[in-house]
Amino acid sequence: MTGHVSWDLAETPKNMFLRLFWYTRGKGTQDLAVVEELLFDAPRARERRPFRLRLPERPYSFTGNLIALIWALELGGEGIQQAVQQEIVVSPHDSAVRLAGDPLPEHERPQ
Amino acid sequence: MNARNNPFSSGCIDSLPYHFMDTNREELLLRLAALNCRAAIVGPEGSGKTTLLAELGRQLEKAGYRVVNLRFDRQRRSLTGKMIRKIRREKPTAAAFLIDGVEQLSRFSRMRLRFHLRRAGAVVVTSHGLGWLPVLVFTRTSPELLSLLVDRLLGVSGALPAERIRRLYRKYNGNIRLGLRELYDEFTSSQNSGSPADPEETIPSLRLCRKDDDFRKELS
Repeated sequence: MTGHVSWDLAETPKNMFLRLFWYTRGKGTQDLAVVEELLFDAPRARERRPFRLRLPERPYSFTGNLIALIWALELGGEGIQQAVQQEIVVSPHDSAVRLAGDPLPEHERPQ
Repeated sequence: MNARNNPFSSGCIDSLPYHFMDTNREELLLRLAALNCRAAIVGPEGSGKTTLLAELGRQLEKAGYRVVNLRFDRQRRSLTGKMIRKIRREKPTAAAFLIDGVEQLSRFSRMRLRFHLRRAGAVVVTSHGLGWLPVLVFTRTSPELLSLLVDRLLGVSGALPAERIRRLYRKYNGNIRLGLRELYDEFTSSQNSGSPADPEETIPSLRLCRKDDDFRKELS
């Protein structure tokens, strides 16, 4: 996965990082794993940097009634209060894998 | 309604801040200091002990302690070598050890834990009953608290009728977590079928919980 991240801060940060992680959401205890973390050297207060991350084979993004697994990127830095997150879908299809029992969204239901 | 959008998911519930009922944060910190920073949070299941422990952890971190968390539950009921190494890695006087579910440990394991933490800067444990540390606070719940938390999760005031809240509270003997879990199922099935079983118990609106702070905490 490749892309660019940019930031515009009031002060020069000590460091900036980009994390690729997944987490679960649902009825049970939440699970979370950081898969990869990129550190941007000598960041300036305002900058745009390219990134390249290798997505693992699994787990895919999925969604069901009891549990959903969500992938996301997080951009942050030491001493920066606000980190920014962007959800992504990791799937062989163009959307998260739908577990049995999970209803289709209204616009996708057959008429 | 899938797990991703259910406002009663565990992530949403865990992100609720502790609601102080009989005391406040400042009073609690003063009491902890008076107890030489060694104390227990005592209360029944689902009464907010873990949430309060996390809140105290944030305050102790602000006070300059390095916070170390240890958790015991029905699956983890003994003090492992890994945990002891985790304790030993710390400079004891600079560390605050937060131990969740200490009642799960055997008497022997509790004695070992006491020994390893004897020089710790702070020790706060949660337990269902009285034990080896003086009580900092007894956590308790009420139907009003359950109602307040439901309102916070849904982002509206008076989200459920008072009678529904009272029934839910009684059904789980005051265990707030279990009550909220039932609402998770209810929310899932009512949204899936498109028509809730009891129209009076319809949850009027949905606000997705704020997850960002939680995950940032976990990640950092």
